[in-house]
Amino acid sequence: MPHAPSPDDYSDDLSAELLRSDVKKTQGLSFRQKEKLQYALLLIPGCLLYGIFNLLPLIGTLVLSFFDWPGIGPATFVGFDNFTKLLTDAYMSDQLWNAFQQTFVFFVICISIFLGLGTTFALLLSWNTAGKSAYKLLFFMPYPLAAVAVAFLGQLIVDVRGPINQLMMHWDLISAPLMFLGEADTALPTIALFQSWQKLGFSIMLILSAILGVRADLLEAAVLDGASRWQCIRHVVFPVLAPAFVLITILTLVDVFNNAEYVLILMGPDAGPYYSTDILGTFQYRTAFGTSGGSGTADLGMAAAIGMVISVLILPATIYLALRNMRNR
Amino acid sequence: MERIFKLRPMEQVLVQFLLLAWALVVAIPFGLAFINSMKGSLGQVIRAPFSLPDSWQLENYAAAWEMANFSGYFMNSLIISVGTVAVAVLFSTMAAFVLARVEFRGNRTLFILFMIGVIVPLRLAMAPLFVVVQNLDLLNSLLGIILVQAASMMPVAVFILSTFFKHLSPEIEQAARVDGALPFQIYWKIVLPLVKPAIATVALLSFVSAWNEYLFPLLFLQDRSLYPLTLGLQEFQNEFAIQWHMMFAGLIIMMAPTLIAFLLASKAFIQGLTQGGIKE
Repeated sequence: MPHAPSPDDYSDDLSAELLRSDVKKTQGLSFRQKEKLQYALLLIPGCLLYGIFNLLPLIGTLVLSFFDWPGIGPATFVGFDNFTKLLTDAYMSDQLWNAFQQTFVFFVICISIFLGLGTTFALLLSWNTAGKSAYKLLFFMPYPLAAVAVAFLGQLIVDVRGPINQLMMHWDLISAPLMFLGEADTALPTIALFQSWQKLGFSIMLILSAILGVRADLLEAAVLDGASRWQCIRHVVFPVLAPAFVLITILTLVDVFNNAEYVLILMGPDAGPYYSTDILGTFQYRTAFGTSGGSGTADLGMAAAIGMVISVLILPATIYLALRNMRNR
Repeated sequence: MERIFKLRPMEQVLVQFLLLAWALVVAIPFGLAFINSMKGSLGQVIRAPFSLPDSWQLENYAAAWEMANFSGYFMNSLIISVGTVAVAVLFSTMAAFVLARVEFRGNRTLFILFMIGVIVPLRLAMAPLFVVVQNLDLLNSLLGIILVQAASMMPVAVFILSTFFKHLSPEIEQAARVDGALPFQIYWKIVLPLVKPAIATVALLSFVSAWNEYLFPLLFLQDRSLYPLTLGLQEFQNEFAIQWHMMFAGLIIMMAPTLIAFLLASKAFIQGLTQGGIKE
């Protein structure tokens, strides 16, 4: 009967062993050595891939934010200069503040829709509604689509000569077509609505599964005590939805603060008209790679500093998420 | 109990009215894209966007597919997505297997390093990422995009998979070890088949995100011949923005594969994407 090694037997220095082990010698290795080698070979490719293309750039952001570097030639160490400039230089801090405010507006529009409409539709779908599964399917349908497709589709539909304007003109709601994406006042909300339209299905599903997860016995007890449907919703269902609301809020926050796809696609890095759609993601992109006209200098150090600022802004939210995930693990 | 979920006829009507309203808001854009993509000229689209085409024609699709090189964009998207799924699934299952099933020094540290990727989105590191890709001579290559995409999926994939691996009972694996099976065999023959549902989730997440990705190809690809559909659609938009009937056809080509896949496997999509979204 062969000795069955306990997990402790091969617990120590797998990593050290790996470095020493030589593939050519595999022939003469004992079972334990072969085992360690194979574990290492399983582990290393993923670590390298992630390390080089994900972790290294993340660390690089921290390092690069202390350098002045246009992307070619030597980089100069400048200490906290990028951060000082970003926060105090009139031109830079104006852009940062403008982008931050607009990101926040974008976030508020999305989150109001996700929580407001999301809860409404999830509640409606939680009853014995006819056609429930067809509605669920349809509401989720835009979610897996590419942002590019949704953005261009939206652009055509809200165009000056597009269906929405034609319809509103036809019903005499407006006297002249609206330039949804062309006016500084309406461009950002319009883009936020596109994104909300695409992603509402996700919130509906999350809230719906929270509602369906309300313990049946709680509801039953409430009903036996003579609670009306609204009282059940108000006092039994809503309190249980709080975690789902927090989760949706945080996911939306992280998404809006780091992902500027919609604005980049529709408005380019200049985030027109007149920077009215500029959000943190486009500000960072423009700083790193220049404007769409090719003018403006690339400033990778400054872009990294902006990346650091955004990271700090969303860090509490993402750490909360990570801890939550670890706990549920 | 029943009373809460059951709707009286009047209530049912009201609920249906509200749901139908949103259903129309979701469905009409797709419908508009579809009927207008079959129209022969811009005039018809502008004059009556809500009416059906005089004669249904597929010419716009043929033109987009061949003249505007959607066939090429489509192939590139396919190569990128399939490559990303292959690399991400293989590497993340291998790594998650060792991280979840083997105790060794540094295990916890490695896991935490992977979690950093969940906490800080890779997009925020776009400048250094560009430098890394440039230095490895992977700019302007599909391989570069595949590696970056797969790497960006690793944290979530490792997280989802290691949760699954942890819940597997260790007994079969131990029995195999006693019989002299080495980790490669245990991984491939015993453990992988047991976590198929998690692999499917990871594969779906990777495919959808690679297929839809806009920023990474925009950063790293210069040759039009390498563009995936997302960038191709933008090129197309630059050229045909005025010709709406063409534009709608291009949009339908871009959306069709995702929509078809979604309708065929809606349950997997809804579950997988919701789960993946939560973990991100």
